[in-house]
Amino acid sequence: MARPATSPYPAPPEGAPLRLAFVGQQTYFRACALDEDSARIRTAFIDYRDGRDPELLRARLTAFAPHAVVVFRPETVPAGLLADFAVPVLGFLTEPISRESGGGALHWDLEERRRAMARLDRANVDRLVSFDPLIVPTVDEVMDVWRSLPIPVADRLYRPVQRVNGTPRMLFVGRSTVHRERYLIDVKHRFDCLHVAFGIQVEELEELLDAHQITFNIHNEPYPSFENRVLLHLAAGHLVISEPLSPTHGLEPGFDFVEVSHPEDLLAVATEARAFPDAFHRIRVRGRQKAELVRASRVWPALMRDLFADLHAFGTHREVATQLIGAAAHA
Amino acid sequence: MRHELPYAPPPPGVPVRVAFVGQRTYFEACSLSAPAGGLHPMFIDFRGGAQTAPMLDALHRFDPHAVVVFRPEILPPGTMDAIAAPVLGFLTEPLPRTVAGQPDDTDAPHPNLAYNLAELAKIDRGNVDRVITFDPHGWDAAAALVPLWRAMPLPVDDRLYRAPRPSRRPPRIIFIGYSTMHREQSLVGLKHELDLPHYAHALMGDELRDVLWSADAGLNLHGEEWVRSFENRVLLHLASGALVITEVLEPLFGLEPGIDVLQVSDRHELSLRVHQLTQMPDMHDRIRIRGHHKSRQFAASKLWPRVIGDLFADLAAFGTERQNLRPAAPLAALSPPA
Repeated sequence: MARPATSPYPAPPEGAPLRLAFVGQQTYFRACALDEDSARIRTAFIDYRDGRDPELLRARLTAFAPHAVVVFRPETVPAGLLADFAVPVLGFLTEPISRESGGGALHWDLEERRRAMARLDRANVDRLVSFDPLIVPTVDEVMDVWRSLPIPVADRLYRPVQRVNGTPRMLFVGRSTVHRERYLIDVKHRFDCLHVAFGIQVEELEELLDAHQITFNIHNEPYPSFENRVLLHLAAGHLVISEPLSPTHGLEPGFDFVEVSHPEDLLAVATEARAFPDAFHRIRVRGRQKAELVRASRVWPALMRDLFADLHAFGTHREVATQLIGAAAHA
Repeated sequence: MRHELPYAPPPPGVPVRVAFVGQRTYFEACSLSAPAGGLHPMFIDFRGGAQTAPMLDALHRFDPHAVVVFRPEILPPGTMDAIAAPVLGFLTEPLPRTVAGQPDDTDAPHPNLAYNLAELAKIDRGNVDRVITFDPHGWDAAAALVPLWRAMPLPVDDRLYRAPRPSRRPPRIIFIGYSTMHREQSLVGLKHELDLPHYAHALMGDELRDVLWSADAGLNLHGEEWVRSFENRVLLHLASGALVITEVLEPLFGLEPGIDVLQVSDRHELSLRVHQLTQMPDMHDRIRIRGHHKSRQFAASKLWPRVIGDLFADLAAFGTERQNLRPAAPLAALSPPA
């Protein structure tokens, strides 16, 4: 990447807050975004999803006049929509895709998501962040990945770990798949595990997090991944019982969460945790501590600082930035 | 049939203690949660495969005059032998249907219905005095296996009732029910276009009430595309003042499509109706009001006192088949020492 003579995008005026817009499907990503209105940063969340009116997104962005934009699932933004939007745009890849670039037996679900990711228009984004470092070789075929880190967790979802009074309650938030039902069916019917399959907003999620203490993480399909619900529930002080995570993003099975590899294991651990919640208290405390690493108010400002620094140092491929630099030089 | 009752009816003027037994997840919302019509209710959680002793112990402590068991086929044989009170079973699962006394025009029943029938065949008739089915179309299939008495929809707990309110803009439209391929195919587009919430399991108690009351419309989709039924969520949503958009109901239990509920023939019409409602949230307010009004006849406080009263009268008139009732004394032995 060519090193520019100057920063391609204007930084916020000295002393003014950074205006940061988050764009994505609110059902999923408001729980991952920063919600702040302070002297350092001012945020807005703009709901957008595949198939929605792109001009409306553009109009809302223009109205907010951000200094930087974060787009969750940037592959859903139509080609060229943000090509002339003259602020840094950070795309955040949130979907698991095939980890091999070709050959071998690839899971149909991962391949479908890989094809969807391939729609990404490089002109819309300056940098890409991937939630999964193991998909980077695949993504690099479309656009270089800048960084990999787990999806942050909104500050509003953090809670102190509380001792369980009475019988702990169980919760699973995530869509229903055959693989998940195979794991969860017994705990659902034995222990009335609440399963919320779709569509709750962050306000309702907060209430659910307050009322439950044990949760599960089951992959969509039988392929390894790292779902953001793991950190979200750890942040809430829950005991997380999960299939093996890949990558682990620093979480340690047996210390920060309980790992299970079979539906019967899940039932056994859930039964034990329900009967003896105190036995798992340390794991909840450890997991909660580890979740601090992804607190939105820590991660997003640091990421924005690095984004501006990186763009200043290495420039960008986006045409609009080149035009900005040219206009500045001409002036 | 045995005509002399092995249990005495409650003395006049005394509140009739009725125990409702079943999986709380599903059936608490169909029972009576507060005294009404001379009944004093209690709900006791019991589900297939669970130990019977805690349930029997709770029954013993409550000493009911009558017991209602949802899905009585999950009771192990002989479970109710020590309960010296009338036991009313309530069948809640759809069964293979007959048309005018003849088997349905299909060669074999749908596998789900056949499975339900096979499960029902495990029932111990000695556990129940009378049985109600929610589905009159499955009457013949059930009558061969249980002392079938009546068909009626599952009642709705009074605490879930709330008069219709002006709709939010956009309206909050929800689906409550476990996930099946047919349901997901019908809902997936709506979910992603409208953030339609889907509660797949174990929504109950105050959380159920809060979710029902937060909704302006509730969807009803059958578990399978070609297996029509009357799911109790229809009445739950109507009771809470929500508009019900449903696939074709069979039976209707007096609900009139286009007047009490909005009926759709397939997922495409469902999508159309939901999108219309999103654009004009109050366009079906009359249906919401009418549907809620109709749902009031299914309030638990209205239905259960009459059903229990009729149960005693019917037993007094026609007796019971239950043969294995043991006197009350052995039941006391089940309770742990003080």
